[in-house]
Formats: sequence, structure tokens, C-alpha cells
Amino acid sequence: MTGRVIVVTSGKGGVGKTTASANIGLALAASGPSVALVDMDIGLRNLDILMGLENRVVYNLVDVVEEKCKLRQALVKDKRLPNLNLLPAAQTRDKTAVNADQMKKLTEELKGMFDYVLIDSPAGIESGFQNAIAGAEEAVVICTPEMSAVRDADRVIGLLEARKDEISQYRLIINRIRPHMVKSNDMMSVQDVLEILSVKLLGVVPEDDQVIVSTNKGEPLSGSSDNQKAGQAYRNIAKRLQGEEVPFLNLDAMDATWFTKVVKFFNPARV
Amino acid sequence: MSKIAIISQAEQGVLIDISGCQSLAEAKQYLTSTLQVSSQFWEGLIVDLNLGPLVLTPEQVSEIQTFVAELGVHPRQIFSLSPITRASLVQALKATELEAALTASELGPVADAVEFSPTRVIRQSEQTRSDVLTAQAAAGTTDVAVMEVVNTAESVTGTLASCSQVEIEESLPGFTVVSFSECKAEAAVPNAVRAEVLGTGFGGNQQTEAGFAVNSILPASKILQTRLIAAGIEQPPVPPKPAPEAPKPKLAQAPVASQKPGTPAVLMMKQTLRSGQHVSHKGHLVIIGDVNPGAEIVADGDITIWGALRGMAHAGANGNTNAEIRALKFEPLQLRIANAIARSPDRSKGHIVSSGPETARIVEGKIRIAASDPE
Repeated sequence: MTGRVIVVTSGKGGVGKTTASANIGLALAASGPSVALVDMDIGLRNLDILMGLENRVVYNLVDVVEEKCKLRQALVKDKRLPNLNLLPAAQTRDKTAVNADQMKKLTEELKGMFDYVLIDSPAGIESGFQNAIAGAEEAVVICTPEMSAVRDADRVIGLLEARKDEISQYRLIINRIRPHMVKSNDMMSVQDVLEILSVKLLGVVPEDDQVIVSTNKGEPLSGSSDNQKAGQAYRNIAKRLQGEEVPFLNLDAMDATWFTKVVKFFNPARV
Repeated sequence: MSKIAIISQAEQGVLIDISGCQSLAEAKQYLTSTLQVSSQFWEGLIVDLNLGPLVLTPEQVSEIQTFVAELGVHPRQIFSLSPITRASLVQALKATELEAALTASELGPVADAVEFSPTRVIRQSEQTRSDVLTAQAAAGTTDVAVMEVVNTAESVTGTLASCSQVEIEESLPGFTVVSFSECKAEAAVPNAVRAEVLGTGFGGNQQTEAGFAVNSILPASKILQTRLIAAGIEQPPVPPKPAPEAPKPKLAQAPVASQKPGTPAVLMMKQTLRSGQHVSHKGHLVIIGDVNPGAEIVADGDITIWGALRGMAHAGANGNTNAEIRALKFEPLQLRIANAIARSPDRSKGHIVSSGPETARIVEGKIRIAASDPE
């Protein structure tokens, strides 16, 4: 088996790398292929919390790298999907506990075991980031429609471009977009962001209160079947990663007020 | 290079290293902020002081001596790299009529080598201290506290150096050196020496206020604990009495097999352990404070937490299945006793609320948690 190694990164912190990793991972696994989620944020371990697996962590990535345990022992099987596995980060160590060569070796091994290897990179562009992208073949860059996030994403894309030989493609997810603010020109639109970054768009995820709820519960949104805005967006992203053509969500329709909903109910053609 | 380092070694006492300070004023500032633990803290401890390259006049030497004495520190040995300071030290010592002197090192510049009686001041050449000490050991000048050259210091250095914020000053024989810096995280240390190096010492507050990390070296906490007990401030926790009912396994009684002489059976820490902090001890562990999620505590003996346990606790780490974990508030993510692991129920099934002091122990091969008996 030769899986695809995809790194989820952003440069800026707090834009939703870990949330995206968890959701995409779960959505990918739900559609069949085997998935490994790798938390590379050593010292600030979070992915296990979002996945609701923190109480199952026994060994971690650093233990594997230091050969204190076998890779199989460190992988935490998801409680919902047996084909989804998490390789947690170490919490009591720091980014220097591993190096790029060790990460390459690790991703090679994971590639042999899973269809998809999703690496959740830490914020920043220092050693943690360098380690995270060391073994990656594709990248997903997360960015919010804010100048600072776009600037950082641009920097990261530049760094990814410099590794063209290893990273064959990189695509963008615009996270936490608020259609009504875009409409009133208070927020950068998808087009504005794309104009600056000029990269291929993988998906647009609307701001959704449910993300906070699901984070606290340890149940990623994309896992539930009801049509929550963000959950649906992540499921679409997973499909696009698998090569399916999925139209982008009509965010305007989602941001409907009760009034437009009523109008739509009586006259679907108008909205 | 950090300004001050406290280097502690169970058998050989504590070395206070201020070689990073540029001036006397700076040295005093760091000494105050770091050493002012309590009036009795340093009493009776073997303390050495390393002045490093500081150049001091005899007056300044006496000044610093009175200064540390006020803090309760009475150095047994004073190290210095500067010949001027060494001369000042000799003068200061003569002045105070202490039976003190220098030990001539074969390696040092011989020019100012006076005849010396047993040690007070160890002279230093530009060579590393370990060289000097090794040479002294070879020369048989064992009056000096010649420390055995232990390899651990070096092996630790390699790993520790990888943690960006923990600086290793130099490898002192027998000492494992970790500087106080802004590093809150646990240093990367191979398992073999973990118990020796990790831990948070000195009760935390002073260091934190001064901008130092509380992570020092475990023996420091051991010393704190010993001191507290010696000062009668704290009673050493009494080993739990065996339970009245028959099925209950025998409680782990004090000294754990692997314990080295000189290692206290109980390590007591008075602070909250936060995410990413790791404490490891080869005896019983008592935490006065909370253990937050993400923190790890490991002990060969029992673990007692006077507070909430929300992180990971591993008792009986050397395979002692009679070890117990007890806490006032039991909300752990994971419990480990010897080789058994128990995890908390998943959050989706409702949050567990602790109902009072509870104890976890192995019953029939599995970890069971029960309300602590009033006894």
C-alpha cells in the first residue's frame, strides 16, 4: 500500500489546522479508505482532544521515534471508525525531540500502512513546521479571511514552493468565512484571498458555532450526518481530496435569515 | 548563558553557579531572587558557590559572603576563575580567621600558589573544572571534595541540549547541570536518568516571580522535602495502614527496592502541576496541589495528591502492583499502576464528577477506584 501523505499547515496559529485535520480525517475515513492522523504539535498536543481520544493515549510519536515502542502500539484507534487512527504528539516534550529525517522515516512507514496520512503541523515556520512537512507529498494550507492569516499563508506557500521536488501540490482551505460580513464588505471574500495567494482552492468553510461545541465534545463535525454548515464543507473537502468534483457550497443560502427563509419557502426561485 | 544555576547532587550537596553574572550587583540580584526560599531552607546543607569569571576585591568578597550568609547560605567551597578574586578570597578568609586556604592544583598557574591547608577555595585554571578535579583525584589530593567523574552528566548534556531553552553550562563531574531559564517544559532526558534530573524544585513561587522556570533538578525538591521534614514543618506522610478487610491487597509499604541510599522515600511537592510537566520519582510521591490534564506524574511507590488529579498518574512504575493512587478529587484522564492502565470514560457518556477522596488500586488485575476509607 502506498498512501498519500498530506500536511495540514497555515503559518498562523488559531486558524483551524487541528480542527480541519480532525474533520478531514474523519470524513475521509468515513468514506472508506484507511487514514492516519499524525499530531506534530509536540508539546502542545490537541488533536487527541478534538478527536475525543485523549484518555486512550499511551505512547506517542516521540516514543515511536525514540524506539521506545512500536508504531502499531502508539496508534490510537478511533472510537467511531476502525479505519481511522491517531498518532498523538508528546505533551511533555518539545519540537526538538524529533528531526526531519526521523519524520521522513516515520511517514514512509505510515504510508505503507494507510491510504491517507494526514499530518497536523504546528503553527509557525520553525523546526516543528519543517519536521511536519519533511515527509509530506501534498499540502493543505488553511487560512482565514484576515490580512494577517493571508500574509502568513503566503509565506508558508512560499516555503512549500521551495520544496517542489517533494511536495507535488498544495491547495488552500479558507476557514471561518462569514458570508454576511463579506457581503457588507467587512471581510475579505474568497476571491480577495485567492487573488493574493493564487493557489488552487480546496474548500471554503463557513464560520459555525457548532465547531466550538464539537471541539469541546471531542466529536468532529464531519462525523455527524446532519447538514451542519462546516461539517458539510469538510465532507466536501474530503471528497475533493479523493479526486471527486464537488461544487462549492452556496454560502449565501446558508447564511439565510428567518425572513429570507420564509421568502424562499414560498418562492424558491427568488433567493 | 543564564545568570544562575542551581546544581544539585544527592550525595554532594548543591552548587550555586553564578558564573553567568557580569557584576556583583547582578549576582546579588539573582542570588536574592533564587535563594530566598525560607530562613531555614539552606541550613545544614552542603553548598558550594561558583563565582565564575567575576573579579572581586577582598571587600566585595566579604560582602558577598555576608550577603549569602544573610540568605542562610554558608558555602563550603567557593570556585572562581579569576586569580584576583581568588587572591581576594584568600585575604577575606584570612581576615575572618577562618581556617581556610587554597588547594594548589597541579594544573593551575603556579605563580601565586601559596602553601595551602585543606580546602576552602578551589583554584581554577582555564581548563575545565572536571579536568582539574580529575587531575586532583589522580594526584590524591582527596581533601578536596573530589567528585567522581560520572558519565551521566555528559550523556544528559547531549539530550538536554536539544531542548532549546535549557542550557547546559558545562559537565561538572558528578553533577548534572541544568540552568534556570525561561523553559517551563520538561527537558528531554533519557529514561535512565529521568528520575535524577526531572522535577520541579524550590516550591516554585520565588523562581516564577523572578522570571525563572521552576524546573530545576529533582534532588532540589528532595532537599526541600527533607528540609521541611527536618524543620518539623511537615510530617513525613505515614505509610497507609493495611486495610481491615481481607480481600484488599496489602498497601505498598515504604522503601521501594530500586531506591538508592540517600534518596528520600517520599518526595513532596507543593505546587500545581500543569500540562507538559513531568515528575518522576523512585519512591512515594506526594503532591500538594492539582495535577492538571497533560501533566504526568510517575512514581515507583504510591502517589498521593492533596488536590485534584486530572492528568496522568502512574504509580508502581517499577512493577509494584501494590502501589496506590489517591487524590481528593479524582478526575484523571488515565491511571496506570504497574502494568495496568485504566482510562476515564469517554466524555460523550457524561462527565465524571468526583464525590470525594478516592483511592485507586489493583484488584484482580484491574485498576479499581473506590472511596478512600475513613479509617
